[in-house]
Amino acid sequence: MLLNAFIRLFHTGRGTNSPRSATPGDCSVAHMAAGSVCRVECVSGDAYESTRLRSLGICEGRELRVVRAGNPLIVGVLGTRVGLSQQLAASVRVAS
Amino acid sequence: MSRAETDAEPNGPSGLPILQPGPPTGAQPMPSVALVGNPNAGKTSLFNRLTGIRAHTANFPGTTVEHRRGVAMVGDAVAPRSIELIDLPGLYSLDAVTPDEQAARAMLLGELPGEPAPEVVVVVVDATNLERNLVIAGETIELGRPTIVALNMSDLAEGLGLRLNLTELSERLGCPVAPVSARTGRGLGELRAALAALVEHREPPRIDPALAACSSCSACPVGSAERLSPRFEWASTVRQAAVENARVASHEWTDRLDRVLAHPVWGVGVFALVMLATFMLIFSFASTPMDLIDGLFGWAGDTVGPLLPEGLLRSLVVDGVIAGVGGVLIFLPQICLLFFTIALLEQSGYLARAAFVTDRWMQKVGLPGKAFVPMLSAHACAIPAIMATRVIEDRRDRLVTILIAPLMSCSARLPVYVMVVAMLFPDDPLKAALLFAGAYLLGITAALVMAFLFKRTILPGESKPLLIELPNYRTPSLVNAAILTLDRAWVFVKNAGTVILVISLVLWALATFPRTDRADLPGATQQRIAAFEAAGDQQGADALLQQAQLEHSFVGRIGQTVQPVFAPLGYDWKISVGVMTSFAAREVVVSTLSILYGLGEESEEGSLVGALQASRDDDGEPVFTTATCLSLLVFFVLAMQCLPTQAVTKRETGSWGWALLQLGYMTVLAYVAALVTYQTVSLFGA
Repeated sequence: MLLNAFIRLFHTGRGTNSPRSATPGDCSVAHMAAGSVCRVECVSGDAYESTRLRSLGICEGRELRVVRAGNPLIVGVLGTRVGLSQQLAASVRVAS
Repeated sequence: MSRAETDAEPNGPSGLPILQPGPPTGAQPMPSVALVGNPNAGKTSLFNRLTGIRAHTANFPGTTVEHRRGVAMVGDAVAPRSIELIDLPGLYSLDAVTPDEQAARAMLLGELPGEPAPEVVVVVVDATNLERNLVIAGETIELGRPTIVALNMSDLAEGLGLRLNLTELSERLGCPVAPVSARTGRGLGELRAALAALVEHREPPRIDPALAACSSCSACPVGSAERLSPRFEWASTVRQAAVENARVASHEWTDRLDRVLAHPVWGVGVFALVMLATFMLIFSFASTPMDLIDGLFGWAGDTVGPLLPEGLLRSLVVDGVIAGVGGVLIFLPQICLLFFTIALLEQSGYLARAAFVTDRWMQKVGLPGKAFVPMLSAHACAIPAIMATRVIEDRRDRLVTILIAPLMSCSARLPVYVMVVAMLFPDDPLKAALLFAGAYLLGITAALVMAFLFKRTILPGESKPLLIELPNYRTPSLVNAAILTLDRAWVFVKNAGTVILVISLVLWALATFPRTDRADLPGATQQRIAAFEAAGDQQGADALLQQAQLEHSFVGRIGQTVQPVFAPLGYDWKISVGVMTSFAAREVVVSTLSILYGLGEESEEGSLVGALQASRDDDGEPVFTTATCLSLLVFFVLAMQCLPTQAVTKRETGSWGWALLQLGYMTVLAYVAALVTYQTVSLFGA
């Protein structure tokens, strides 16, 4: 656990899977326009938050629809809506 | 406290190493059945339908997480059978992160000490939302316990034009499926019959090979994509197989409403209006039952009093027990109304939106949006507000909200505000209103500042970023809200009631002993009483006697002893006694001051204010100067002074430590702020 965190500290966003990789131009949910539909590629961030996200259906392979953009934003997934902050949205990488 | 209720369970003594439910034995008269499902799937409605009012709230062993359990009759009228039904907290999947989810999971897996795993499981599934709900269904079925799926809201699904192939669904899930509607009661008979058969035969589910493929990697870490992703796939496949028409259920209404209600600007405005309406409702509707309760206890005191012999016993029953219990129950109407309204808002799906739109603003002081409603509720009464903090998942966020909730100006502070404001600005309504608003503002500001400080000191950590399901809007059920309200009210009466009763008795004893007979009072006082009687003013004589007796009682002595502590705040010994007696309930200060300043208990507000304004200290200077009044007001805005709240804080946090911290920081805050107020105002010669 600790070792992982340590490695992550020195692993400054070169890998595509690095957490907090929400630079503009990056395709996280945070940057999707309202109405767009996309598929989740990777949920990163700490274990607690990513577990919460996945439990609610924001999980690798699921399709999302952005209902409302902004902070916080609303996505439609698995037939209902989920509200989430930009901070969390930035850790969800998607492919449109 | 509610732990005691679990003693009545038919299960074996605690500590039994129960891992898997074995075949039924004669030693267990009532099989236990757990209700599992997503939040918003209507579990609680179904639970209420099946148990009626034969249910109670209990804590999971070793946790502060509550759940409802009760006895339900299954089978048919010919061969009824009782089962013990347990309503578990909502779960999206078995990857539990919040305390509630972890308790539900532990209960389901039989990991709780002294709490065997349920023998039969009912998975409550929202038919209008199959895909999301099937995830937890799949995980539960995989546990291999006798399982039945209750397909709730099947009437709504039909209304939306969803045609479900139940045979196919049951085939895929490998267990019986019973379509029900907890709202209308449809299909409950069939569910009861199916449950009875399941309890009788304990037939385990046939686990779908596709599902078994997911669990082959059960070694995957909790919450990992590898563990959950195949389950979503499976849920999606099952839904496609079970839904016959390609038409997807429309959520147009929800989308339309959300355009306004979840809007960053309009949403906040609507929320403010909703809450304003709620409080107006509470204040206007609660006043009648509050007066009734007040009158009832007054009547009880007047009726019981003469039946008892004059003396200690009468005083104990009337001034101690009846007045003490009445002091608690007077808050009950407000608490009930608030819970009822919040329950309706929550069931309708609106509360999730309220948390959604306020989150951005609350984050600025380091609290989540879900803390907003409790903080607002605290303006009516801190007790239901603290109980309402259960919606906040993060423990630290929840503790901070509990700690600051009593700083909001609750309705019990109103009599104190009225008294002080009337003394300062008797004939200037504008200034009076401004001072009133200032008192409220001071409470809110102090709460936000303290939240900010707590989040940076003893309870550090970022507040959890917002993540909340926004369920489809639904028509709430009045019956469910009423059941929930009654349950909460009963918990309140039981817990807060016992503690405040003990405290009222202690206070009564301190104010009564040592008893000073009229003959033992100083000569000068006796002469003054005699003079009142000679003038035919029996009421004045009694009041003076009461005052003198109180002065010589323990409370009076304590007040005179601690007076030096309160002197820098501008309080004489009588106000100091008022601060002491109102320790358990802040509004007591009004009646204490009216006794001490020479009026009977039954004083009118006007005459009380007059008497207070006219009171002079030994040097002939007025006691209630502007500085003293303001200092008193500031003290009562910020001080804890409410024992029932302390009892509830203890219950919700699980330890007296947090309750003591709450008392400590608020008392220090109140003292320092009142000191600064008094000294500053005195300096400017007011």
